[in-house]
Amino acid sequence: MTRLFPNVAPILAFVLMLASGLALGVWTTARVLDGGSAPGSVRYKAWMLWPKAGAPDADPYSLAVFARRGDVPMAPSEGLALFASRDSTGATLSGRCSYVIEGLLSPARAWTLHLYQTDGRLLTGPSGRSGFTSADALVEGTQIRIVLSAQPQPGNWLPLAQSDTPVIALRLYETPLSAVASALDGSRLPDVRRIGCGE
Amino acid sequence: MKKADPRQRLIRAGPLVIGAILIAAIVHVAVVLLMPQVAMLHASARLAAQAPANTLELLQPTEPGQDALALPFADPSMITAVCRFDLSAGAVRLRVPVSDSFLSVSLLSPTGHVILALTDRAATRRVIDMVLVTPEQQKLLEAQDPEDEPVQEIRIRLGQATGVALIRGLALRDAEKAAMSALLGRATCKQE
Repeated sequence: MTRLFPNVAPILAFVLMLASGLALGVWTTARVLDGGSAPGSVRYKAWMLWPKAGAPDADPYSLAVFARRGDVPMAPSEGLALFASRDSTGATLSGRCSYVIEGLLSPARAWTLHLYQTDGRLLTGPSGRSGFTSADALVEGTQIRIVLSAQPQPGNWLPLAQSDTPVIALRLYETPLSAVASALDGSRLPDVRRIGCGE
Repeated sequence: MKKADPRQRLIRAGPLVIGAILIAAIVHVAVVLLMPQVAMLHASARLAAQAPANTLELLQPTEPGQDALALPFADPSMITAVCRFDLSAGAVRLRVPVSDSFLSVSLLSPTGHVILALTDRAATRRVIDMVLVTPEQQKLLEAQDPEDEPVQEIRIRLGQATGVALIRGLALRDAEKAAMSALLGRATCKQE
């Protein structure tokens, strides 16, 4: 083959290089932007945050992540948004399991916690409730305890359906944390702990 | 011709592998940098579709189970109004009354970048009074300013003539939503 067409091999190799380079570039970019490992993102326990995404000096990775998602990041002056699609051990959240969001809540003027589907639509159970706020959740001091489960629970309960893969969004409005979000003390954030799976 | 031994093949493939990695790196940087420009569903594009230029539009409260969310991952506890501003024919004034609840006004560039965000703390006499200007309009306004008293409004000089103002007020209880909608309904976004 190479002896018959001596010029084919280099061209073929060049095309191969071009194609594999393109594929590799697109694949790694998608992995980095969607996987939450992009520079500019921070992970604490179960929570992912993009502290600079809503700032005037936002980094290009955070801008790309939010352009792809299509939502507006919170500016540091507004507060801090934290997202969790995994529990504190790193396992993806599933409607077949029950979870408890428990722990210290950082000081903020107000907070809201809502459940979403992975595409960003609200996840509402049969009760029509998708979340809690600082005004309607039962809170003891600075500790919160919210249970996500398919089975009814006492206290703050958010219903899940078996097929759900929920994303939790915790928003702290006007919190001193947004000033130090890139170097946060993770112990000041609540845990997302699995408490059981299946029937 | 003698068949090349594997080591020689590897050496010959080396430049190609390096070339592929270089191309991948260039593609990566290009995709990241161009994403805000090419992502047609970024926040500004979604919001701009909701409102005509220089008028304030109150978005429907995001009710549970509803698919009419203007933005993915939007906080349903927030009542939202948008104004797509265009400064090409003159400065635009935004007046937003505030209550005791958290309220924010954020300005988004046409590619969805947050240029600036103010909260209700920036209100004077319970109104956030902002004037969005281009650098030229700012000079004109300053020339007209009275010399003996400070300007009450917040002037914001923008590099780009267009963008989206997003006004969001927090209603922590369902019962507060109507009052917050009424409050944002009194906000205005008008060309001067």
